Amino acid sequence: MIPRPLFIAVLALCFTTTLVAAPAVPPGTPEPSRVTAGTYKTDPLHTLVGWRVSHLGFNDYFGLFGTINGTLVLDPARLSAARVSVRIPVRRIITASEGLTGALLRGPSGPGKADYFGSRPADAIFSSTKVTPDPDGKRAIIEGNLTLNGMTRPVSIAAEFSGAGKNPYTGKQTIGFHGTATINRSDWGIVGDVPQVGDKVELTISAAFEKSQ
Amino acid sequence: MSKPLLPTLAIAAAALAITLPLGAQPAMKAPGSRDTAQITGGTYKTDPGHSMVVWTLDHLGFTPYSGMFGDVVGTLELDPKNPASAKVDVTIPVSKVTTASAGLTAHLLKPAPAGGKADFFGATPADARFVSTKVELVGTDKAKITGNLTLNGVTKPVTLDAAFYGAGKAPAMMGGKENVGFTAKGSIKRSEFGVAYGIPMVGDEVKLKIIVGFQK
Repeated sequence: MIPRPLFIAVLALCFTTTLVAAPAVPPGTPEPSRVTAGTYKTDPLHTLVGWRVSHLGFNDYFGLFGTINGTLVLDPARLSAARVSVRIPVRRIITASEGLTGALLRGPSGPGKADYFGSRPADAIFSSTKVTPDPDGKRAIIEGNLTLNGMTRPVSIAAEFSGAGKNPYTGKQTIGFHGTATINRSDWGIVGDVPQVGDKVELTISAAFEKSQ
Repeated sequence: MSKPLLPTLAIAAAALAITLPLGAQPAMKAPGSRDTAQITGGTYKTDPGHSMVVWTLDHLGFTPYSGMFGDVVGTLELDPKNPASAKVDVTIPVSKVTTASAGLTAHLLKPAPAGGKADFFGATPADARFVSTKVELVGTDKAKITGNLTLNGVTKPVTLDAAFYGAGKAPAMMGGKENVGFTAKGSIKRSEFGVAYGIPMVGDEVKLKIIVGFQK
């Protein structure tokens, strides 16, 4: 027989562990078998596009776009039929420098075009046109059209599945991806300070998609 | 081609030829290049507007999440003939943490409850600081930089894999300073610095990507 004080302590511990402590492992793991077919929506707070450009050839510079809304239609049995479309609020561009953010969102100083996005930029939109999965089922090349600054050009994203599971806080099935792409901003008519500020923009995408069932 | 254009073109070409060496030429190409011979050495200060620490950690096992610290201020002493003697000392304003989510930024800087610990950095976090203790050259333009990182009142050694990015002289209209830039990668466990909230749902391992421009 367990001494009474110890029994109470063990009982208390059981309750505490169940009710208070965080689960011991995160819910997501990178196992493709956990992905179920359906229509997913982004978790806008955990979907980011990071961008990186050269500054004068001296150093590079990094910033973000967040609050990205969109949908993913995915059937793990037919990955090549997957379709993704996301909307990126350019006006909410994030940098570590208020002055730079202001410059990126400044209207034209005279007649003509703004140096970068202008004061009221439209959302950018990426819509996939073709998904070519890798045989490992964890990676894919996602080709699509990116509309930015009023111009639409093709972009190719190298995407990698980063995890799936049920979010314990929302109860939603969630799948995550990481992706990279490179664009030349001049292709979208954003030529401010090229080549002092690089034309080539390296994009790092992190996207969480969730569905209710 | 209509005739009147030609003299105009000739004048334009002449004007261009005169202008190029003085003003227009720097616009044709960025002043920095990936040529270590452009590094003259000496004591440099960061260009805070172009020096930052980008951090990335795992969210729920689903996705990586990134944010940044900007306005990094500090010094680099560098002799290109003896790069292993280089010393770097930078200060990172944790209070200026930047994310794409106002709610998350507010949580990162949420005050500690009375008598308790803050979830993350608290309302008025001290600056973090990295002071190098050892620089080991890897090839001609990379280095392992070991140093002490002080964050949240805790000091631990950290090793960064640094790479030369570019160097050159800024155009006179931009101040004319000599610049040298680097990137560096590293990884820390935030729990070792006492910032343990949400582990393991929000990852303990924090990948760091440092971008730094130095000027003299």
